[in-house]
Amino acid sequence: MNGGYGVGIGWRPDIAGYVAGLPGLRFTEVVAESLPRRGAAPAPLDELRQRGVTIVPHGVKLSLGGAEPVSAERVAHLARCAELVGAPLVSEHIAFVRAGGREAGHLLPLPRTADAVEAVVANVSRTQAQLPVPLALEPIAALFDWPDAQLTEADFLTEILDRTGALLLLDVANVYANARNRGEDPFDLVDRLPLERIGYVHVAGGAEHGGLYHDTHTDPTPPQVLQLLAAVCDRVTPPAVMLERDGRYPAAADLTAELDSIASAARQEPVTARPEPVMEPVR
Amino acid sequence: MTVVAASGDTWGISGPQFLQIYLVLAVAALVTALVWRALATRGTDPGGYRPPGPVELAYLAGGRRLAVQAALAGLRCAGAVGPGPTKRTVVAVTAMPPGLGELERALHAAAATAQTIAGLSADARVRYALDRIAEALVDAGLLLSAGHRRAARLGALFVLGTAAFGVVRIAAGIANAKSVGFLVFATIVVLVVGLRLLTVRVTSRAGRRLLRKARSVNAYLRPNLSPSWATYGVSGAILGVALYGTSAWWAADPAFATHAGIAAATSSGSGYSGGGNSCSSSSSCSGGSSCSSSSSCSGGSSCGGGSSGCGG
Repeated sequence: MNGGYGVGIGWRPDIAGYVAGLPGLRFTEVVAESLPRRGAAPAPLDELRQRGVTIVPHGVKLSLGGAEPVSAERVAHLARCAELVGAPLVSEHIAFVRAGGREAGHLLPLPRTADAVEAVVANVSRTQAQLPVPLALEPIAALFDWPDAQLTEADFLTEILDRTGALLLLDVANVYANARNRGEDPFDLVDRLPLERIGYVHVAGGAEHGGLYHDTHTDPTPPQVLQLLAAVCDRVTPPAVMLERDGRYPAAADLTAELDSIASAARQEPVTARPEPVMEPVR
Repeated sequence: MTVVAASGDTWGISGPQFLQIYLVLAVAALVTALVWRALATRGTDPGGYRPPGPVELAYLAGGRRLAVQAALAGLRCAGAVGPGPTKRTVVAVTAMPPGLGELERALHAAAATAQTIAGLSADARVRYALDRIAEALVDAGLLLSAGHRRAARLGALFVLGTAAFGVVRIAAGIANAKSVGFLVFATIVVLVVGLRLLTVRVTSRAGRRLLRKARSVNAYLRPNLSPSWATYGVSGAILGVALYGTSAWWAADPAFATHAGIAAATSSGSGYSGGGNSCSSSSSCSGGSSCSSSSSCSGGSSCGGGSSGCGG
């Protein structure tokens, strides 16, 4: 993806009408597992595509960080999704969601070890071999770290990206959550990440419970995350920046205000208003 | 075998010959009846009339019952009504929010004390508001007036007359000791078609066209997408119930829907057939021709007069 997609929002059925009504929208993302295994894409997505909106399938269940090889069937579905919506790239998480055949139901973090790097690289390479488009990898928000980490988060990530040639799907809310829960400085972490490899950027809301910051996707984006987004956009211009909202959807006006703040932090045009009409010269 | 009139034939016409004449007559009667009916039920496209609002669309799609349920969805979305203290009751929990229509205001006023939805619907002011909506829809040519529906039903007389003619011939045939099996069968078919033509939908064809258009424009409110009422706002909530029936309620607010006793599926076909007291089992969608052609019909069983979807 090269530049110019501006600010987007994740497509969810619950707010499909709102997303379709965004006049300046050029970018959206759809959860790959929500797309049908066979048959056409949902009509609202097709309509967006016909409008010229770029749609990126976002996988959540591939389990790239699992010790076992990725399921060929799941990779085939991700590849099919890319073709179904004409995506220029697809994305997945650096995480595992199942082990020994048991589903965790969550994205779980990997131990930051050389062995884990090998496992992820092997799975990413298998996946890339079957995908018709590039793959972007998203580091997750983790509420805990495995002990005995051999690598820093930045080094772990850079190593995986270097060895696989994958793009970075940078979730600034995850960076914020991880740094805050570890008592680190999120701006420091951003500085050590390979920002030049960003495929696109996620932004999401969260809330604090019991002293920990949870990346809920069901609360508004806090100002600290927007500041972090601004810091990233000071350093590079990401091809696209996108709000992930997955539940407890607010009023349309609140979503609009949130998208506008994201556009402002990312120094992008707002997508919520129609562009100024070109005035015909008066004769 | 060559059929010739024999002296023993009833009315001097042989059975097979009469059957042929009768079938031609029946087809002619049916065509006449259908043309008559089509002319009487076409309604008018609301040219100068302002486009109907969401509550009016609900009335158009499912009559008084759906209009009340849709208006309640607006009040619920605005946070103005909540579950009442006892099962199946609804109660106003805040002051009336601004910007809502007459029916919503009437329902909110009636819900000052907890009531069932049936109780709310029986409130005098609510009934008056519903009457006003119906009048406006009739004036706009989207609902058929009682007179138009009577006129449309008259078309059935062509077919019922043919059935009566068949009965007379059967009687004569039996009196003449002739076999009448085929004619009995044909007459029964004609009779059933004639009775079927007595059912006339309240919604005019223009009204059904408008509903189809509204459903295609607002497809994002389809219950299977679990549309967010918070995001789409009060008019989105009302419109969702109007266009897709009470399954929209269940997708958005199942807890309240359960408490208030809102049926899971009501009419979401193109127009309703009830109205007044004619909630008969032979609802307009049972024939299948009118509903199956409409792609927006959600779910096979929820067309027209389902178990709970009758307008009356």
